[in-house]
Amino acid sequence: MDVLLATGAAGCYALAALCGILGLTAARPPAGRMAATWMGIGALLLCVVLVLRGVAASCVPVFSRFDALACYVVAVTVVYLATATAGASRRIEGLIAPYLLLALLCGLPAIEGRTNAQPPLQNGWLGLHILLAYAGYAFLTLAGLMAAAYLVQDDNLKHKRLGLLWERLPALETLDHWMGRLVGKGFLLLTGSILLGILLVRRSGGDEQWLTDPKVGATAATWILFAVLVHMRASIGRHGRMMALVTIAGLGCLLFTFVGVHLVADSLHGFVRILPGY
Amino acid sequence: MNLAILGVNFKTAPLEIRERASLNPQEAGGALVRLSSAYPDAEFVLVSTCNRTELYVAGLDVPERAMELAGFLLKDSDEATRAGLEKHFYVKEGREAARHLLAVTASLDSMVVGEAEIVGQVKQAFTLAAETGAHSRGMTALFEHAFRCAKRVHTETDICRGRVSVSSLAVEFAEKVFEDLGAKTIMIVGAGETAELALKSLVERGAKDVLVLNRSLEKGEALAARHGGRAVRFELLDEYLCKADIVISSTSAPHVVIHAESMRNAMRARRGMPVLLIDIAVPRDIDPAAGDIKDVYLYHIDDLQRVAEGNLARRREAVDKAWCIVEEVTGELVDLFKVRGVGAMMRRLDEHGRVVCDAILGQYMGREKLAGLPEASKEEIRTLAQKIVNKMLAAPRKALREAARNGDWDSYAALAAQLLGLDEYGPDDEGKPDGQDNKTTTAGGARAPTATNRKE
Repeated sequence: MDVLLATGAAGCYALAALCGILGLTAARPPAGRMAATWMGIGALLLCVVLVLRGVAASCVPVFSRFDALACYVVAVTVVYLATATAGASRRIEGLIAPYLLLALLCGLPAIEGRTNAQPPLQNGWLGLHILLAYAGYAFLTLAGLMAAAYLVQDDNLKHKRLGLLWERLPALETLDHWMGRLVGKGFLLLTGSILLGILLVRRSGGDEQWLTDPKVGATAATWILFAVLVHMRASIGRHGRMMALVTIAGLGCLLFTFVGVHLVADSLHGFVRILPGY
Repeated sequence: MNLAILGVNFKTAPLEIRERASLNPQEAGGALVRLSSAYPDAEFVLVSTCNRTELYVAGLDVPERAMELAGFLLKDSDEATRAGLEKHFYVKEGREAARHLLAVTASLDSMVVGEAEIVGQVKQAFTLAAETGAHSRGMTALFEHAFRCAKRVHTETDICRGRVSVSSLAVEFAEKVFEDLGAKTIMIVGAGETAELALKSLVERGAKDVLVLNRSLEKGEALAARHGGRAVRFELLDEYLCKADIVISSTSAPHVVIHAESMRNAMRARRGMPVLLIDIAVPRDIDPAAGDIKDVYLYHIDDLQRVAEGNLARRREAVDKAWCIVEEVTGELVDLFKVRGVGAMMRRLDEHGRVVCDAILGQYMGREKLAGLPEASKEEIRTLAQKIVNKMLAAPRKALREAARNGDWDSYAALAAQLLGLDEYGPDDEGKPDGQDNKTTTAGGARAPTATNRKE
């Protein structure tokens, strides 16, 4: 059942991606909210899948590769729809939906796997740590995608490519403005998640092994990069193409922290560790 | 609906004539009130813009009263003057009038095809006419179709895509760089006419902070005063460059006025805030190397003209498709009013039958032989009389419906009205609101014969 629903969700994101891309490139774009609607339906289906898997495994479904990526996709979708509703431009659905589809497709092959957190960590604080982490990832991911849109529009303006894409993408200042807001909020949430993580480790008494965990190191690097970015924006008042490039670098770091580190090293955060019986 | 238009536009009259017929909203409101008083049975909508003044009329023979109606539109004119202006006015009737309204609202009849302002102007005119009680349901359906047609033309064709003047393109580029022009500083270097037009467009879009730099401080101050800005000495250009978000340059200098190095220094101070440079001068005022600096977007006059020409060509290609939509909607309107006309005629036939029945019965029921009959018998006689009348009218009703289907409505309706002695301008259900007398309209476009029937 969860395979069917997850495939359905992927289908919805595929339709959203198509509508989003057509919205940017087609002479007669689809109706304004179609991409967002399909993303919303896809996210709902993923939520149902996660709930079913959580009930079946009697644990919060975030520890396997599929579960982690599904939660990530849902988090980004929710934050995007909230910002779109609040007035941010909807025209970058052509970038967001394909990205989320790709993320989901990376997770689908691992749908059979299950993991769970180590027993000493299984408490409410862990839930909050995970929630803040995903929320932070979502905001920072959206900031990275806005930055990508900024670079595309900057290129259009610089090289006088004044076609449909130029016409449909938002103004540079709009993208810069939302980049700044999303980075600020995402950074705060990520910081909160990290602090809670430190608290959890202290309480579980496993300081040494966690300090040498590759994911912790990657997270620290990501945090530092975004801290520099926030400082450059807030204190120095920097804007423009440079900030967009740094934000995209931040997204790269974030993706490495979230997914990449598990492919190159063993991590205590790992969702590659399959529990017996699953 | 007996629709007609009396108007003057940029194709038929030079500016000095159009100026005399150009009415601001107050004047237009006054004209509508006077028209409604003079012709209480007619409906009016008055559209007056810088390029046209048109009076849309329903329920009145416009060709016969053209100059009389023109008198309501012209400022300070006497009969002799009006006679001299006759050649500049045009009259359109019936289907042609409906088609013209749709074309005007869809911006197909505008000086710049595809300009978007005309829809708003027609909507304002329609609202004003409603507020003054100058029109009612008939015109409402007509104008609603016009607005729907305009929307279709704008969404289904490329007629409105892209701007076509250099000054409006400056705004378009600015809106692709900046979110809110109201918070931006515009610097205008030099005092060229095109640059001022571009500045005007930006100010209309909300830009408030305007700096004017000109070699002649007096000219700079005059230009600044016109647009609510401030003049700065030309020598302070480099100092103020970092403050400007949008720079429009149009000097007559034979050499570069804004160097790449000055721009680099300005961008260091701006910390990556983007700058839009628009160079309208020939030879160029701004060093082309400035366009290579990060976060600087430089456009010169050729870029703007190339984009404008491309947009104009796209609009022209879209015109044919737009006219197809206009013809389609015109057909729908004609059918709509035909159906209404058929409905109105059937109601008049019913009314006629009822009136005749009631008159005869009223006459005979009072007589001695019938007065004593029981009420049930009287009721039977009334029913019998009504059935006889309905049976007699059944064949004409069927013939009229056939005629409407076959496109012969106008002649059949006129004949039926004549043969059956119907009041052709009798009441229908499209009367004016507020308890005013029902205005007279003809059914489905059938009109009383007129001496003239002038069409464009």
